[in-house]
Amino acid sequence: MMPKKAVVTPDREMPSQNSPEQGRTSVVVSTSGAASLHNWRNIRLITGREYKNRITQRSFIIMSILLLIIVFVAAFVPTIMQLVQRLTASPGPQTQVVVVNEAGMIAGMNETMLISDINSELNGTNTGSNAPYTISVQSPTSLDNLQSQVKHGKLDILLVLTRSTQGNLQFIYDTDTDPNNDPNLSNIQTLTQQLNFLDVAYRQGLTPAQIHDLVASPSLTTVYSQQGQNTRSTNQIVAEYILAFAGPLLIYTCISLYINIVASGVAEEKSNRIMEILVNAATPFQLLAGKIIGIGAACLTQMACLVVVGIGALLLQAPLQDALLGANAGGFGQYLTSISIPYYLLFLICILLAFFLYATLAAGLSATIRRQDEVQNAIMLPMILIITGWILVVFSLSSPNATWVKALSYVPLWSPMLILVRVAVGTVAWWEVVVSITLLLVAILACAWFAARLYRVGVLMYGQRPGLGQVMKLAFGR
Amino acid sequence: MGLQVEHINKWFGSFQAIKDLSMEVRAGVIFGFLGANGAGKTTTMRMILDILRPDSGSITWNDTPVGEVPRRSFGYLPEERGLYPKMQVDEQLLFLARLNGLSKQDAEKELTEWLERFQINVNRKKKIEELSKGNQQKIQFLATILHDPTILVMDEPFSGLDPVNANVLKEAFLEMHRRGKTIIFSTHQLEQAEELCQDIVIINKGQSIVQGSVREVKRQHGRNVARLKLDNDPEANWLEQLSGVQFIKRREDYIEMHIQSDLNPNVIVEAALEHGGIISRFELAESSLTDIFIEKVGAVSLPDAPSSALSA
Repeated sequence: MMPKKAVVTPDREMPSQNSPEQGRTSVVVSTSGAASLHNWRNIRLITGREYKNRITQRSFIIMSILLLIIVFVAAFVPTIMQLVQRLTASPGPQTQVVVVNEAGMIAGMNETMLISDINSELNGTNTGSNAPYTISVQSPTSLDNLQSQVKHGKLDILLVLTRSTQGNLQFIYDTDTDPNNDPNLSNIQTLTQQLNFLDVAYRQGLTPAQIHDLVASPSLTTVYSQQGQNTRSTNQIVAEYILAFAGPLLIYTCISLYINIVASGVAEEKSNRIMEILVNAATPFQLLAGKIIGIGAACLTQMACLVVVGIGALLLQAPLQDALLGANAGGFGQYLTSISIPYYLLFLICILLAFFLYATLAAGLSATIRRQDEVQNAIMLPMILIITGWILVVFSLSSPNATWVKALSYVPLWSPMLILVRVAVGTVAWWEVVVSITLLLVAILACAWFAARLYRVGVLMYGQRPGLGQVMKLAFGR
Repeated sequence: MGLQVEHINKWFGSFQAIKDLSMEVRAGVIFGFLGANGAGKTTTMRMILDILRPDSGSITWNDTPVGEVPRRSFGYLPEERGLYPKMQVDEQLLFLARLNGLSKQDAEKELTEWLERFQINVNRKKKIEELSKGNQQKIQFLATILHDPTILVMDEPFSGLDPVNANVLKEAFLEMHRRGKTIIFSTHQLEQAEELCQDIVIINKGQSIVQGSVREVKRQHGRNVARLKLDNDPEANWLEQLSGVQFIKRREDYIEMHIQSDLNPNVIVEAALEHGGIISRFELAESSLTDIFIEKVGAVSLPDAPSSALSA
């Protein structure tokens, strides 16, 4: 502040009003120390405006309704698929197999024994209409007729058994199925190997009882020595992988959706020129914080609605499956409840912090653009970073305890996603989570500081296209 | 006391927007800030509001640097109007007034009073984008003054207003003046400045050219406008040969010219008689601000420097 001589100017117009005005101003000046008290008041006001504006915005409401419908319908998909499968599978067409035996007696079995052997080989324990194959034997005289039936699609499979001159079994498998996608081939191969084995053994002189002993499965007892593995149920392991995948996926989806909203909100304010008035009334930090918290709260409201509707719809599935399918086929509920509450809490913290980090970055960057249509350029960098994070998650799922996953789970940009993977399917100590979250908080503060500088600089650069260097100079200068 | 601007300079890259500008705005006056497009008016106003900071020099309000003066003592009407287009008038104004420190009750009271005064109470619940341009301008003005600031900084407040609305705004100006506010406003409409302002400054290319009270400025320039009408010689082409006569403009009914202060006006009458003219009108008048502006700015105008939007 410069020392100044009082400048005495004759005030012809209004000497009387001048003195009270000065007295009042000096009082106002003395309250400037309380500026930080206005901080929260202003942030609250801006947040409130932003929140109300956002949730009453038509595009936001439409998007929410669409998402709600998608989530609701998606919850019904497994049940509907099971229902469709049940409806189409139960009276499902059985594959007709006709066996023509030109090889004489096989493995000492008569025709009835042969059919029952083939039947148990192809159909396993399924009987009646549940069995995928129906088997019949026909005489070699109708062979030509049967072959033309296969050609015209009236018969599914024709299996012809012959013997070579050395007496070995030979098989001809005749079918009309697509050669690129034959669902029966492997079954038929197993069958022919089995029949061949029995026949060879028989011809070597083994009795049917000896052959039976030969093919019987030995007793096998499994002992897993690695601790923990056998204490977890399959449900739990499945649930862990679902959450290790779903948690980061939800973070990725929400952030790439919501930073768009934040960025276009900033750009809108700038192109409306209201920013010029706002920077006079509030500090850039207050504007930034209010904007991000307000939009964050609106997005959280939207997510809460989605989660409530989603879980509600999922809980509907169990009674619905009971009613439609007769039996409850597991359901999603047990996956949800078999994982611990701390994971959900950690997920909530991670998605909030990730939102703050990326939203701050996006808000700062979009303060430097000129027009609404440049928003996509401004959020290019945060978008690339979040997509990179998602790719890292996909790779880390197969090796959650690898060193690179551990290292990157401390890097703030990606830690919210990778720490979730590690907690869900890897091994992680509690202090590692604390360190990761602390680093994330520090990064958010640094980002907020930087974005507030950009915000202040950005307001003033109407009509100018700043280079990156210029932005940095202005942001770090002064 | 009041606002002191001392020797400020501002560079944008290699372009000097403001060159050693000093001025004083006494507390409680209406101060006209005049200059051509790109003269540095908006830049200076932003520096007064501490949105921009000068590279050198100082700006103080009652001896306190403007950066330390509470924000709510300022009301700013930017040149480019800006409000939330999809927000209701009352919500918007209450938000801005509360952001500037008013309690909710006070803000509502002030709002009702001013909406009445501006006769736009019927538009209270409308969205900004649904209003006419003139009404939007009024709302913008209200957004500037609702929190009862001490210093009003207004960039082109009259642009785009029809005469009726301009008059409403003028009344509001005088009301704020009666309440003891200091009003700094920039304008191109010099008649308005002449009518409203006690003090003015004219800047060109970032430099102050003329400043002081309107009366002083005019007095300094003397009675140097002459209007002449000759019944038999309406063109009076001989005027161009007279030394000391400048800026001859042939109007519909008379000829207007500037005469240099050392020229005796009688010279013109004598010359007219000499050329056999029949004088039906000859008068001397004070220069209007427009004349002074054109004379001063026109005289120092150089070929246009590459101008930046920032210097507008």
